[in-house]
Parts: sequence; structure tokens; C-alpha cells
Amino acid sequence: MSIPPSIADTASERSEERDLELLRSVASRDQRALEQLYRLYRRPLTQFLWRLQGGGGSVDEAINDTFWVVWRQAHRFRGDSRVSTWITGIAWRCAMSALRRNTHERTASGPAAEAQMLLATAEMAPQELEDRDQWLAHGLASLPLEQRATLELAYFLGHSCVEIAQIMECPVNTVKARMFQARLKLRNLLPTLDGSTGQTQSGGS
Amino acid sequence: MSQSQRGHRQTWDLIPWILNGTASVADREAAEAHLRECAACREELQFQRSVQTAVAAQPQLEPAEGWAGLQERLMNDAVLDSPHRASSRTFIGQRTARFAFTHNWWVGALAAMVVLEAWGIGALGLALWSSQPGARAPVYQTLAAKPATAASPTIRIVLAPTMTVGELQQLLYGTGLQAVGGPTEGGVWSLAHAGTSSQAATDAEVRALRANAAIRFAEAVGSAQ
Repeated sequence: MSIPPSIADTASERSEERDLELLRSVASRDQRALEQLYRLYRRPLTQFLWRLQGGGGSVDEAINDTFWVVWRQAHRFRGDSRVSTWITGIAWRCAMSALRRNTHERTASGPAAEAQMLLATAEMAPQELEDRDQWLAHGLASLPLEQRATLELAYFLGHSCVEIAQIMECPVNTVKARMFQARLKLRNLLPTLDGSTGQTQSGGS
Repeated sequence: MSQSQRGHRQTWDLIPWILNGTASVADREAAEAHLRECAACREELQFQRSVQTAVAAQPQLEPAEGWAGLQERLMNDAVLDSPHRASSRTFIGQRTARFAFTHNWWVGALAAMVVLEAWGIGALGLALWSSQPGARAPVYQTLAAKPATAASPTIRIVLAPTMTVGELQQLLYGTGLQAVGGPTEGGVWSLAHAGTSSQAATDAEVRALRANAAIRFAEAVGSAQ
């Protein structure tokens, strides 16, 4: 079985140099540099935030908030992480802030955003899910927010375990535990894939 | 746990990071060696690959073109950040000019008379005042200028759209903080301490404000300078 090659190649090094240069210009109040960063990251961050909010919420506002913070905090960037990790961390905190706000606003009138999302996916009866893609979509939507975010950050945005810990401001072991739990839940939700029996307990067996 | 079991567990944990290309070379080589011998790990690698594909294949939202809105917000911030509020004075001046040209001519004429009258009274007063011995230079203060007695802003916040000014006051009651500016068109409020405060106390207040669902953003002023 083949394993894909590492992506730590010269192309990503070049894009990091470009991002660093842009962020330096942003720190010296260059709005054109901010616009370039905005255009580079708007699309992937939109997808990431949209998925975290269960296809709802105000993603545009969160993106706007993210780059507003980038503008104000660029001078504090010390190169402890990649620029993309730093920006994604800001987007994560903006999304959490928006989610808390939405949850607060809905508390009086109905279920919280996350609970609504889970209810919507739970309404899909297993027998209605015809193929693997539907099963996986159902499984992903059923994961708790932090576990789903961990999967999205690893598989959609391509961040490393250490970078995800930086983004979510948690220990590396917490990222490992979330990834472990997410994989286990998906395994147990999707028992018939590839003829496997599911109910995998762990990788330690 | 035997060496073989440890290798199995390590490989199992590494699979997502091998798939997304972020595992180290050493980890990849160790995992490859184990994968050659372990059918369960090969099956898990295949399963995670389908999860990775499913994550990538989810519906996508076309991003909105929001740069203009962000730019407007930055401009509003620039107005707030200006130490002498020069821009806000210009803005008020522009509004006065627009008022004079867009209303009926007699309103303009009346306004002109009031201005002339005020100027006349002012000139008379100035003449009387300057004739007094030992008179000092007058101190003028525009409406837009920050009152000399007001505390310097230490925190800036943006409220959730549903939050009212009354609710903000209620929130600040008992915290030692008071609103000393805002909101700008971008919705930025400036808060200041009624008395003296340390950086640590300001940081704690920022954290407390961030934890409040009705506060969209909170940051220490010094941190953004």
C-alpha cells in the first residue's frame, strides 16, 4: 500500500516566505498586503468555518472579524508557528466566539446551534443512507465540535498535530485524543464499510 | 506492551498525519515498515483515506466578496485610533457643509446670520477679555475632542448586534470600567478605568469580556498600538 509523499516541499516553503513578507507589511499598516492575505485565505477559511457552524451562521462576519484581528495583531507575530497556522487559530477563536454568541441568543427560544445540527443529522435514519459518502457525511456531522474541527484541520486544511494544538490552544495530547475519539466514533458509526464488522475498540488491539 | 504492539499502536496513531503529509520522515519510515506486516493497519489507512476524501468532498460555500466591508471597518478604526481625532473633526465639518448646501436657501441664510451674530459677540468678548491685564491664552475644546478629565481608553470592544447601550452599562456596572468613546460606524466602543489599573487587571478584564457571549471582540488598547 502506498503512502503519499510529504508536502513539506519547496513550494510550501515559498508560500511561507510570501506569507511572512505580507504579514510584515501588514504590521507596518499596509492595507494592500492585508488584502492579499485576505484573498489567499478567504476561500479555505470560509469552508472551514462554514462546516464548523453546520452549514449555517454568519461565516462572512467571522472571516471579516478574523482579518480585522490579523490587521490589529500582525505586529505581535513572533514566528512561533507558520503564518497559516496563526491565521487559522484566529479564525477558530472567532468561530468559537460566534458560536457562543449564537448559542446565547438561541437559548431563550430554542436549542443551541450545535444541538440543532446534531438533531438534523440524527433525523437521517441509517437505512436511508445509501452509500459510503452519505454514511461518512452523516458520521462527520455527528461528531462533537472539537473532534470534527480536528479532522477538518488535519484532512481539509492539512495541518500537523502540533499546529492543530497551536490553533485550538490545547496540549498536543488533547489533539491526539480528539483524533483518536473521532476515528473510533466514525468506525463504530460505519460498521459495514468494506465488509468490516465495525466496533473497532482501538489501535492497540 | 510488546515491541510489536507498541509499533502497531504508534502506526495506528500516525495514520492521519501520514495521510496529510505532516508526519516526520522517521515516523513515516517506521510506519511503512509496520504497514508491510500489519493487515489491520493497512485497512485503517484505507479507511482513513476514504474519510479524508469525504471531508474534501463536502459541499462548499462560495466565499463572499467582503473586502470592501473590512476596509471600511479599518478606516473607522483609524478614526478611533487618531490621537487628536482629526478625522472625526473633518467628518463633522463635511456634514455641516452638506447641511448648508442641501437645505432651503433661507435656512442657509438664517444659519449665516446666526454665525455672523455669534462671531460678532465672540469678537466683542475677545476684545474685552484681551484688554484685561495678565490675561492668558484661551483654551478651546470642540465637541469631538476628548475631555481633559476623561480617563484614557484601556480596552476596546465590539458588541453583538442585539446588545443595547443599556445592557452594556449594566455589564460594566461594578467592574470599574466605563465607556468613554464609541460606537464608531464599525461598532467599536472604548472603555476606560474609573481609577488606576494595572496591565494584569486589564488583561483579566479583557478575558472576562471575551467570555461574555454578547461581546464579539475585546482587546487591550496597548496591545494593538
